[in-house]
Amino acid sequence: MIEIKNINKKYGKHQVLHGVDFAVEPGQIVGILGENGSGKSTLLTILAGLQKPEAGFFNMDGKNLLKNTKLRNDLVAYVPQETPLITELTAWDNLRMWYPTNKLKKELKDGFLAMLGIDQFVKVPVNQMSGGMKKRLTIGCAINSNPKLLLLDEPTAALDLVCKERIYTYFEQFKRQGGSLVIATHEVQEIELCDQCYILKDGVLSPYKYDGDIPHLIGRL
Amino acid sequence: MVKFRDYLLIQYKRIFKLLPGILAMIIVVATLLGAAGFVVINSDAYKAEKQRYKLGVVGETDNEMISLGVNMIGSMDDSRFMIELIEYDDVESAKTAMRNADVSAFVVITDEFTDALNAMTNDSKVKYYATSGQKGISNVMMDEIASIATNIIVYSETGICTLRQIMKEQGFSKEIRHEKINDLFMLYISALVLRTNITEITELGLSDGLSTPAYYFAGILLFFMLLLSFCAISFFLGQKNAQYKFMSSKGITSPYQVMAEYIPFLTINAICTAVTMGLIFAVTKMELFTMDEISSAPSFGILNVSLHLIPVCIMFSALGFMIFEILIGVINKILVAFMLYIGMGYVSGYFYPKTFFPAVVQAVGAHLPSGVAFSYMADVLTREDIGMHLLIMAGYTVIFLAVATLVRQQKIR
Repeated sequence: MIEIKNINKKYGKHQVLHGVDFAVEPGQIVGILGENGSGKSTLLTILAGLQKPEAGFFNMDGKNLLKNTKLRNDLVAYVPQETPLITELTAWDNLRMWYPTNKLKKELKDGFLAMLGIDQFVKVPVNQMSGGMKKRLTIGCAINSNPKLLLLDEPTAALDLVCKERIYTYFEQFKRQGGSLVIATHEVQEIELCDQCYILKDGVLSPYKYDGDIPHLIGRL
Repeated sequence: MVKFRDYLLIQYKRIFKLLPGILAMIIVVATLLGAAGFVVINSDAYKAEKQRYKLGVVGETDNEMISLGVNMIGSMDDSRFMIELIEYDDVESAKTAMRNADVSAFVVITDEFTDALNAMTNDSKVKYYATSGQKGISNVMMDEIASIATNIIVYSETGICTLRQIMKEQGFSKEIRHEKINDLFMLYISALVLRTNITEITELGLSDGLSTPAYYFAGILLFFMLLLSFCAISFFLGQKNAQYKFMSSKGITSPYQVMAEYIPFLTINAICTAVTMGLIFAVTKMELFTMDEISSAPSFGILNVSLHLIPVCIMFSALGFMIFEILIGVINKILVAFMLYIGMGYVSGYFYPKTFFPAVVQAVGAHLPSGVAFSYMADVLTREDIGMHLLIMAGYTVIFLAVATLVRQQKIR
């Protein structure tokens, strides 16, 4: 069980997050919706340990991950919106930084990395990859420690349908294995995948039940 | 630390992938700087023993005494190695020649001067003209030359005139007067020729107690080392904030990131410096270039100098790393870094002896990292104690890396 309680964050005088609370059950996908600049990425970076909140808790199975960096690094994986890969090097080189050789070979053969289709472009330099390949490779790098929580910042933005489908398939598999996902998104397809949705507006996180009514959703954002 | 090691290894892999481009830039820079150094060291201006400043002389040179003095300066005195006297009929011609840079300055020997000479007074009647503007090395030299010329002309000729006048008043015949005056000429000439023996000229060089070749060697080498970090700018172009954030989320925080990127960057700079020093070693072996500082002490060779360059390489690499970490955008990085290096090199005396700068600029230049590196190199070449400068460079390195870490931390947030 993952609990996020009373997260507050300010940039100068601007209150970006105001008492953010939500919980994620194992095997759940939580979607965070909101306009650009509403604080979705800030929330994810706080959970990933890149920023410190003014107040709040981030607990997983009763352990405060805001104060336990090593545990958080093992249990939480973060996929940023932009490509965090080393572009001069191949997919193999990038993965090799995070996986021991034997484990990497195994994952590429029949593991999550194979499911993401990374085995098909393992020798390709990142600067010659498509956006979808980069995103899949980023996810592949992020999940090296078998995390329980995957934080994704607009994971399928600007990707083609086939690539999106591949990534969604992986999300489903990750869920089935008991993993949880928190996704900051604008994509309707991703919202439909979510078990719970929240709208972040003016720093306040409110629950939202998506029923396919896009105009209504837009009105709430 | 396992992650740090992996990140370090991948940064090594990355920089070696970029190596062909980096080497291409280094070769271009080294060729340009090497050519500049070769031109400077082999130029006529550099070869002081062959350089003669041209001094115009205008006025009553028909006078036998003055023409004698002028001829003595031009043919017998040691100053003939520095001065070439060119006679002009009038001031306007001399001024035109000076404006055309045919002469560096000119002296006008006025009628009053000749009269004063004949009257045996010591009135200052020689007029000296030089170009105005920045007090450069030429002006300093010309002040000195004018002083030499004035002293020789005034005192030697005054002595001769005095003898002639006294002998005339005492009623000596013209033949005897000429004989005695000729004797006095010879005495003067002997005395002037003796100046070679009674004066020991030691070339102190341009700055920091270095000989001129060592000065240019240190200046050009240090500037090249500054530019080395600039050559490896491609190492800093592919990285984005998302990468820093991702690494940080995986436990490779900003200090580890900075160190894991700085070490390969330093390695490349150190390798390039070593290759350059190898080339310099080959050049000195072929005796195309020599420095008293090294040739006078057989045990103190280029290898020794190369080893002493390591702290400079460490500091300059840290400086480059910090600059490229702070600046955003390719054009910014290239332009600002280049201008900064040129400016730092200039005020620290890499291109022009810093003694010609105002005291405040000299003080600032000496305390800049480039200035400290220059003083350190001067200490190394003159075998002085390097401890203090080494300490300052270590301090600068820590500051640069600390600033780079803070900037990286800000980028991650």
